Amino acid sequence: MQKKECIAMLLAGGQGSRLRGLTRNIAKPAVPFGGQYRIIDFSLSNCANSGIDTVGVLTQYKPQLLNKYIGMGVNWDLHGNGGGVTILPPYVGDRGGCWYQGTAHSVYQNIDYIDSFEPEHVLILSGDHIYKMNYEEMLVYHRRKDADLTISVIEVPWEEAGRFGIMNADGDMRITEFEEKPRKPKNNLASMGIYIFKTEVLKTYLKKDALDSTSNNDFGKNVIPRMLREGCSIYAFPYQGYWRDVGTVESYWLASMEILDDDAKLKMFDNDWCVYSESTSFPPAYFATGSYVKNSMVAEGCRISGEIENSLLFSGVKVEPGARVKDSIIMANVKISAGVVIDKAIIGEEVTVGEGAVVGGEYSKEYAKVRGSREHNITVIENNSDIAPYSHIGVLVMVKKDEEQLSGISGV
Amino acid sequence: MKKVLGLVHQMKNEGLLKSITHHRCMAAVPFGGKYRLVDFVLSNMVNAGIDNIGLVTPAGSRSIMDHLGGGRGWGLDKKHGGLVFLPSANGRKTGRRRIVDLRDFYHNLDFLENREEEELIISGSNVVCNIDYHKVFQGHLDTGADITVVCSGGEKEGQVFLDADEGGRIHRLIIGKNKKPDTQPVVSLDMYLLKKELLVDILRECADSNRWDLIRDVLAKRVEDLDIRAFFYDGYFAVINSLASYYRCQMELLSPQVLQELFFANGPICTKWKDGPPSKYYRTCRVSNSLIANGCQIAGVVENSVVFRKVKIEEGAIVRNSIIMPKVKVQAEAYLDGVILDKGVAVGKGVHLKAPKGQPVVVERGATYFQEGAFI
Repeated sequence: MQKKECIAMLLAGGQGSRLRGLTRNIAKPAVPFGGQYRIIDFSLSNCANSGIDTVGVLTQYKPQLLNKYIGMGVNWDLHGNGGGVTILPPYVGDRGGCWYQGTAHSVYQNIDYIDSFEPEHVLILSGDHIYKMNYEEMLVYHRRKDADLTISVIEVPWEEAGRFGIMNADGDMRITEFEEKPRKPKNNLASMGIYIFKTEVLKTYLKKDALDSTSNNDFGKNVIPRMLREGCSIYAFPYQGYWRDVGTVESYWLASMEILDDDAKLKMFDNDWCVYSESTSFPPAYFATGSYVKNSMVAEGCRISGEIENSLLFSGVKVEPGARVKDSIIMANVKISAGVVIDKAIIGEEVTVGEGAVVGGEYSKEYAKVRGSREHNITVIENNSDIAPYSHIGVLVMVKKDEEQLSGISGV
Repeated sequence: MKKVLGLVHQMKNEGLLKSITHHRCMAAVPFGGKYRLVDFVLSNMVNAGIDNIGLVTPAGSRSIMDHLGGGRGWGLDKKHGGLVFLPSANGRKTGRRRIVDLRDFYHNLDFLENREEEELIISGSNVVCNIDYHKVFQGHLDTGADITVVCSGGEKEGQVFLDADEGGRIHRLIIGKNKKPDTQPVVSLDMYLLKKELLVDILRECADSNRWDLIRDVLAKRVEDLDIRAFFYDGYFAVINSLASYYRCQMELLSPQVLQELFFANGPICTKWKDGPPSKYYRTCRVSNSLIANGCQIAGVVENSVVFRKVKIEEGAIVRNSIIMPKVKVQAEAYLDGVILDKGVAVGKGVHLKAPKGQPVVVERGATYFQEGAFI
């Protein structure tokens, strides 16, 4: 194999259970985002735009769609001679095999893959973040500091710092202390889960971690604290741009709505740092006479006869006359029949919403009150559901075709 | 249809669509918000399982080469077969305008002879339709015709018209835009099915006689000794051979029925892969009866128009009955009606461009209008 200076290992095996029905059948990185993309497009596009042409994608949970989507990496121009994208699932060798036990363990299991490129540095990424970042700048910083490990950090609001892994650093940005979800955070520099390791150091500590039977085999919980204890040089790389973890329904919904802001921080129309994705073969979006669209993004293949406000529509969505969609995310190929009202909901791919149905809005607010959770203000309809005409749906997760409709329907 | 080889010929068309075809061959003419004309013929072939396609590429055809690349957008980037560019025989010379120029195929005779397919579909690249070639091919086999010509009834514009009897046998070809036969006009869709062997024979005869037009010099003259039959296609189609038909056909796409038939009912129409976000519709926009591709930022009014990718229409601007090609910028308070803006045109603040009714006006690629209150 051709020697590479830096390769990326992209952690894409997580289940993402806090995304409720959105990840019932697909891995979190494969969840559609932004009207045109899947979450993993952001990390893969960052790699392509940063000149990192060798990416190992570690998959485990429900990987079929993700594997198919990534393919040879053609969509991100990551195919070609030498590197490219390689899907790395758990495997069996001559001494048996096992599932990936944690983030560190999954990379440990693929040391052979890393070795085949003889890289000097390994970039570890998560497949579930929304951001545009030049990893090359981070790599330059990492080399300049001659760090064993560089961790990308971002300032988070002080009141939220307790939800993150917080880095305490000295004046030179060398990390002195790492606190996972501290009750009294000493600062507000949160780890973004983006690491660059010297390859030899990574291998040493992955082996140590694998031999430690008490470890959870997690980078944040085990590997990095051990490296700190043993005096490795770990530096924080302060990142200034837009970055969102979309691990919960609420954060997913909020990040989607942020794209619609006129002064959105995530520059979707920026040609210099394009986010790549799969191309669809739909014609342009069609807006009928009498349709209405305000503060929304609408992808190709949509046919709009109804009203769209503050919403994101993926490709191939049909909105019939008299239907109203507000504050919602509608994934690909959804059919919204005449007279439907959708308010603050996330509708999965290929869903059919029958005539006159009401989804979200008041119904989910009531349910959220009962559950005492703001999160449940947002109604999630799972892929391929079929919503009966004139039904009123609050917060349910799943309405499978040919199955009984599940709880959460406020019958009216 | 593994056994069928697709051939796409190029019409000589300098200036047929005014400045739009000054720097592009007909196949590369932008169409329908995100396509180029060649996308229809290629997609129709691919959708029927024809994945060996030879495409005549005239000199100076960078835009078509760039668009097609290795054929990835159509799944034609294959180890075996796929898309093959056939250099045109004519170079840059513009000789006599032939309808189907067989010299281009003769120039690539070795390609034809080396292919193992026995059957051919030859098609032009200026017909917009979504046709099932399986059916056409079956019809061709059923009648046992030497040559099947795909055609359609109706009053639409065309280049070649046919006189066919009730059995579909063609007895006369009439050439010219407005020379429709008196009885039941039948218009050719510029698609021909025949055996490769027959084409090779025809090419050798053409070489002897130095007459090279499949229509004028072969079909029109040999209606008696060859069994030439019409296959009637009854779906939506448009032959793009004038600015009027180019404009009218794109306005027809704004009919939900035409849109459904052309893009959703049969196989997909594929094009070059492009990246870009969905279009953003601002609070100030008003959009009605229009097609809008991805990557646009719409803050103004768009009515009865086709808008290509990466177009920016600012607040207060009004775009009516127009075709707006990629990367056009329309600044605030500008007013456009009945215009075709080629790629990258910039229209300044408050500028009015209005074409006389029924006579669309083309604005050349990259032109800028910044003078306030300018009229065409």
